[in-house]
Amino acid sequence: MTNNQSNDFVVIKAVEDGVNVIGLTRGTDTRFHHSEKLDKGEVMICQFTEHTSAIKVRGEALIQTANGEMKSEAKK
Amino acid sequence: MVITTDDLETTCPNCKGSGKEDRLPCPKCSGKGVILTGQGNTLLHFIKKHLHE
Repeated sequence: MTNNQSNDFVVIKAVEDGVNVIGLTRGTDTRFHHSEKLDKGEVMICQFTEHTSAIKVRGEALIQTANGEMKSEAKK
Repeated sequence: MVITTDDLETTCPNCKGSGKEDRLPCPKCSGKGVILTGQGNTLLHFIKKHLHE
């Protein structure tokens, strides 16, 4: 992994209670290996690592990455 | 401090907790139906480590 990739991180701030941040495995099979529940106002700073190649956010949250800022929405 | 089930595990969003997809074990959660949180893993490993003491 290049140094650039290993430094990549994402900032997630929960806008509502019960936002789930789910880590997906790196490699041939893409499984969920870890989840984290965030309550309103809680912030999580996640890095892409040897084990995690993708991050999924469920629920309303504010997300900041190197590519910009976006908002995930709650399922209606 | 109160720990709720939600703090320990999350229902798998792929199989909605059934652990199955097309009658096979769900590939996303390895058929468990749930994904453990960091806190869930910490508690699980702690109990496993001290259970047979």
